[in-house]
Amino acid sequence: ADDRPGAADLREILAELHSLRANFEQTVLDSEFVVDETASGEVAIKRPGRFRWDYSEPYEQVIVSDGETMWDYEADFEQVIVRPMDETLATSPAMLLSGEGDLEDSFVVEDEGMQGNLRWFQLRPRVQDTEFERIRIAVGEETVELMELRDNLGQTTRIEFHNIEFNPELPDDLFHFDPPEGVDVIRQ
Amino acid sequence: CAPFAPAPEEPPDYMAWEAHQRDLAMLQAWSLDGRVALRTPDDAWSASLRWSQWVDYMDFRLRGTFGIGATRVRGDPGWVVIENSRGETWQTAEPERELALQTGWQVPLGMLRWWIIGLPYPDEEPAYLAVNGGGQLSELHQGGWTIEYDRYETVDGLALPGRITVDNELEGVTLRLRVSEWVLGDRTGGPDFAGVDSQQGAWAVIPGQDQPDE
Repeated sequence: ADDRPGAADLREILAELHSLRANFEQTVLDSEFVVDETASGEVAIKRPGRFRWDYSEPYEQVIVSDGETMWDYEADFEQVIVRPMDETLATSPAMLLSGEGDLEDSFVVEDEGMQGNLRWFQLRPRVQDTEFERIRIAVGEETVELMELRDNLGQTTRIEFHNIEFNPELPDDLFHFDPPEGVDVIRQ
Repeated sequence: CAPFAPAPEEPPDYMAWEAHQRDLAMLQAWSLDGRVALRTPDDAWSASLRWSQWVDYMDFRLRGTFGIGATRVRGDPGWVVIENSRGETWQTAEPERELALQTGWQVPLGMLRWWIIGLPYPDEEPAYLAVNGGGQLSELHQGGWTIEYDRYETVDGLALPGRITVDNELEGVTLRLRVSEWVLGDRTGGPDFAGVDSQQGAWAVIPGQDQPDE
């Protein structure tokens, strides 16, 4: 694809995204594009660096970051793993939307143009051994509505947002996790 | 002592256990989807697990949050290929050693393959074995590991573990596993299994067998 001003446009779109709340559906497709796993829940994002992914299906899991610390809580195992936010998550969907800095530092951004009513961008990592081989982001009228992340096993994680609240007011304590009574807290 | 005596559990039913072992031995192919939480002295993570088994051929896939850190182990006990989502691959006869290096996973797959369906590892005498009132394994000590079977569910008439804890006190390793779905293959005893399940997608026939033409 010719090098239309994809990067600048995507940067602008993301710059306008200060916060977001939505329902999400996560589908993981294996290399033959057969549905391998589906999950859903609610997501809240507040830039920079804060996010909260409340998975309700198929398992209750909460992943929260206040920008410095990340909590990964699994209700069924009554366990929460607490670890500092680190770069391994830098290319994860969570960080892509809530991360600081410029996507172009780590990705070559290309404009794939309109497909239906979504505008698609393709991101290829500049560094080789990253988690994801290719990422695509689709933007609707207001903001990002869909992300596809393909890893080097040929698996694609597809995350689609519904009922999007664009730039809502989100309290900071939403991005903190207090473990319920009796939960095993594992510090990494 | 306990303020009240716990409800007496049903006495172990060893007769039913014999029958249950025979049923499980007929199971040539199975696949499970579940969640695992691993804890070792220097690491802790949770992931989703898809494990498919055709007699001795294993397809074992771990996937972290947001699909990050996916690792796949395929092969039979003698030789496996390990791939991860960063595009690295290894071939080895000792998957455990490589898996431990790459992901911290230390539970022996060759044994877990039997424990996970509710059987002791056949090639070694268990140090301890307890059976519940339904004739299923409730606890097992083998190879330095303690396996507790917290819950069973019935799938196509066969009781299979819904929740197990695998613990190695010496190494300080605990693996908790919860199965959200079991899918069972052909149990007529024949090794030539072919399973096509639209919801799960086509399963490969056992390598070396020809694919039935639909």
